[in-house]
Amino acid sequence: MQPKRQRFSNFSQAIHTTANCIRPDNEMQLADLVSKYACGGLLARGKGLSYSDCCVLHDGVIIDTSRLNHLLSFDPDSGIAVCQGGVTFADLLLIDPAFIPPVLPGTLHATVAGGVANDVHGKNNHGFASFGHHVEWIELQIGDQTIHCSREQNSQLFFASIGGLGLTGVIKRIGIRMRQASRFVMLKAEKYRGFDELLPRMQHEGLQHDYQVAWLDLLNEPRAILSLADHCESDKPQKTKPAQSIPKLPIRLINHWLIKQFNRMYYHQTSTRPQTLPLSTFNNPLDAIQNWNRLYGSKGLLQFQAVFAAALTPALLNKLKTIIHYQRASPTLAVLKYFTQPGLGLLSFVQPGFTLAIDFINNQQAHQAIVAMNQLISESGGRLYLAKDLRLQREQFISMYSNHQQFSAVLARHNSPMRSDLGKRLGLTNG
Amino acid sequence: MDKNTWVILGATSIIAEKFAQLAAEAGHDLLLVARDQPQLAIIAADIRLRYRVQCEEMTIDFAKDSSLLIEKLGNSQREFNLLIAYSLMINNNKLDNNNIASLIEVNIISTVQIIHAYLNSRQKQHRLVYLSSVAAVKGRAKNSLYGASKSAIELYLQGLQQAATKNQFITIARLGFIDTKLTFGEPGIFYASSPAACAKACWRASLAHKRLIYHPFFWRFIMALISRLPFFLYQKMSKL
Repeated sequence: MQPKRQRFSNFSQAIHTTANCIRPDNEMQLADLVSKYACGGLLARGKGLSYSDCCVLHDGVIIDTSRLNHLLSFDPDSGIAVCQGGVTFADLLLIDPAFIPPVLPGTLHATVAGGVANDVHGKNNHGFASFGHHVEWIELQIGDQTIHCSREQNSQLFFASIGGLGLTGVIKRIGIRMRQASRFVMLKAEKYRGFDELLPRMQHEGLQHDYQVAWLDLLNEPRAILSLADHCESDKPQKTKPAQSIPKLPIRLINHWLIKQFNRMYYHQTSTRPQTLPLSTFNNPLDAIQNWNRLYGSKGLLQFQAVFAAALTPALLNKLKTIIHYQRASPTLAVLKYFTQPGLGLLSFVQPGFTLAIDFINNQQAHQAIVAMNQLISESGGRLYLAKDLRLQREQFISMYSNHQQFSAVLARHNSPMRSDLGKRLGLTNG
Repeated sequence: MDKNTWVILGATSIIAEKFAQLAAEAGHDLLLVARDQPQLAIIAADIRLRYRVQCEEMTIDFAKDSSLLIEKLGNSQREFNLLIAYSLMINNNKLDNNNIASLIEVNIISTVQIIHAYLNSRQKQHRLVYLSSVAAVKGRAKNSLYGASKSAIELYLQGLQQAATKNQFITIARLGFIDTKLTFGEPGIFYASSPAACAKACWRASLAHKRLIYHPFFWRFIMALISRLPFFLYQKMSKL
């Protein structure tokens, strides 16, 4: 197979790289290609849905895993599903109508290997922690070797691979423990003027529900909508509306003023009456619009996501808001979640505290705001999400991720050929 | 619509896999046939889990012995539909005595034997889709033996189409560039259609009882032009 020169971006379309792409058709070819191209630096890429530069490798070799996307087995007694790394969360939902993956990220189009590599979280951290907790084992391709890793076997490599940004090897197969749950949720929304009451509500009442997430308005006076949802039975048919697709646009359709008005309208129009929704409609509202990132035009968007201690949250929210306003950045979507359980991996993002994710229009102001926000989080003992970040510096990273040395040691011990632009930027890999 | 079992020959190729998924989605059981046993098992497991249909596997090397399949097609009590998606692709400059024989064995002899057995089996209805290539339309310096083998089957099928009963549906799909390992990274590929789109076009063509389709459709016009070119111009294109 010939490598193909191809351009790659991240999901937010904010960075542009070129790489030689190879696309194995099966696992045998994957093993051949990984050992053949190992010397120059490789990166396995699934759907490329990360907001950071962890899914690109400029001038390196990208392994397109789109054809390694088969479901392999499912045992309803143990709940363990086995699949190839390129399978998506949406595919996992096809396995059995009575089972779901215990943790679902914000998009179901992400691959399961990507879910492992970023140790993704959902809106139910207080119940089910992060995705890595439900991974029984993984099969890694490192050079010409296939290594089976679990909590018992090659455990160091296992814990390095959970949240390991794909740098430990190509995640070829995964065993996931699925969860028995219905496909519908009962949603209840609560409106807040200001964040003072919201935070304690999330720390107490929120934990009584299966899912919780808060939408924040950072452009008008502080307002929030807290969504609390619980699994429920429903005889409604699972509607499968075809996703609307946004074409490639040369201009940005979103601006500061429009979002400000949208936020106002959204706050007033959201109903607080309980309603029954399909799980995916509640959990993945943006999946209904294919390529919604194109709304931001050719320069794309930026996302900031950090987790910080609950006690510091009221003050930090104010400070972050001040930075955004001072830098005149345009936050388009802000979401607050509450974590109670840490992740399993050496570089897992998830740790107890509040996590705030903010989308920005990609401009100079947003970059400056994010740099200042990163510094603030670093000084406050918080942590940036590496799946979202483009601006973190090595010193800040080191202070946030205390296991970084252990992680780099595992990479060195196994002589992992994997590289990414993020890995190079943060000094995680040699060269 | 009938719920016959679709027999997919060359099931580990990506176009055949996508076609099998369409058949499974429509509720058909499947018999997947290919040489690469481990990959065949992976594809079959995936289809069972996604679509909850019966999916049998049969490992066969069409270069060696297809008798197991021929027997199954000829003597089964079940009603089968047939997709022929396997072939051996060897460029003229790589030919030697051995692989010439293999190419003819795989692309012509086994294919004709299978088609013959299938169409002579006692079924209420026969539905056959043959994946051909635009290379079958005119001999090309790069791969004319491959093109000739595809052309041989096409000509054979044309005769069968002429004599087909009203319950025999034979579709020939002449494929241009499809995004497979054959085109990936190759120079001169101006547009490669996705395997899923290709499978869908073949699926629809069979349901609509089409005799011949091109996919991507515009290859019909390209090939119309190429086959009418004066020879001295065609000769100048031998490097393409």
